[in-house]
Amino acid sequence: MLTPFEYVKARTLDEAVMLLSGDDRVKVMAGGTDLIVRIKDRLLEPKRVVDIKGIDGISGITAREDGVYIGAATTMNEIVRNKVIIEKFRVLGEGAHALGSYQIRNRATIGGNVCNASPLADTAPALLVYEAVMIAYGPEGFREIPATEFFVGPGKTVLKSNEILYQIKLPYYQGKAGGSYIKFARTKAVDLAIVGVAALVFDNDDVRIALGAVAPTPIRARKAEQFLRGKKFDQTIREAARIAREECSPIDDIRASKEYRLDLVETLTYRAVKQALANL
Amino acid sequence: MISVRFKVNNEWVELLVHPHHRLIDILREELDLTGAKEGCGGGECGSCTVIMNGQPVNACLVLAPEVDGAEILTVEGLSKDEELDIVQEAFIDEGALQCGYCTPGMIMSAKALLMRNPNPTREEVIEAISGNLCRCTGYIRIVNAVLKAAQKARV
Repeated sequence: MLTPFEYVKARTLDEAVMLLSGDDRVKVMAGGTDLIVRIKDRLLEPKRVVDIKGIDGISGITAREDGVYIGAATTMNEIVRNKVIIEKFRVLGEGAHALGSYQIRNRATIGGNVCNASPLADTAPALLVYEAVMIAYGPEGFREIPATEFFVGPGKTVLKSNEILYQIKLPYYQGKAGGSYIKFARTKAVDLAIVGVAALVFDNDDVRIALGAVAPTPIRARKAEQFLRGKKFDQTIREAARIAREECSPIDDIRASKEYRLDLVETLTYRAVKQALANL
Repeated sequence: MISVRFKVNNEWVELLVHPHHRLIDILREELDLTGAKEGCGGGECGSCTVIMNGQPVNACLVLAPEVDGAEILTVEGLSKDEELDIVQEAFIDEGALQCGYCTPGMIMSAKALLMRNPNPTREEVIEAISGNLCRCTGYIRIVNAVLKAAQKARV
């Protein structure tokens, strides 16, 4: 049983923002797969839970002229199955598929995954390599935040307590791209990442690499990207992977030691870039 | 209290629920449907798996007010008259259970898989039940049972 709270289903963005009222004992819920566990574990004791799933436009995936818009309450399984995601944004599909179990992926949402701001969030590295734009709504209306500026620290985003994430925009890119997400965990499924690496390579020689679970937030490995630009040969990929290792700052925790994570970053960055090239 | 109206095993029910109660709580405590079990209460073990609007979910991670208007299928709703569902039969035939605690959830995950994919491969079965833990069987007989159910359904 959970400690008592009030449940309110918001119908509009304005209603949601009003219900939040900037009080940190009011919690936003979409899929609930993180929130309910935290309430059960008494890590949170909200007085009110605001369910945002019913807000118009907050669920589903829409392809528009300038990119693909994913509603914050879109579930992992909807993302995994979506045709445009499979064809153009496969790294995000792989990240969504790596999360939890089939049951969890039916409920867990992309907005919840990123707003919880765990450094190991499986969809975050993909959003960083696609340079997604987070569209938030608050008392002053909409605001757009680049994914690379969204995460602030473990459990912290730039969102204010009276703002909610509404949609995530994946801008279309020029030319062809090949991508890959590699998640390393203790078991093949239903576990948290020890390290997650996303790589995206373009036919114009641009490269993007993002790392999960090895810094206070998901990060881009910009020096490794810089090094690789225009020279994606086996030896240079190995060197770039060594550079990626220098760019992160992992911690020891219950899942792995800092040293093990550093070794994994190097190995998985190499593999992810190779796989991304193979998928080009 | 919040009033909810939803379909359970093909019958409409109306209940007054506490907002902080979960689907697993109302199934077991209000509706006496004790097939779904609460194991971990955190979405890791799958013993509370039920089918909600055609998709398997962890009943421990759905709040009671969220089920308003939904259609829920539990293990109790699988058999027709005195006849067991093909998945249940296959679990018995293959000896795919020992203590039985995980079985209702396991069967609902298997049922949901066969609803969306009537002809799964062994790998697809393994992935579909990866959110359901069993500490007795070692899974092999469970996977065999799901494949057998799929095969029987095709005949």
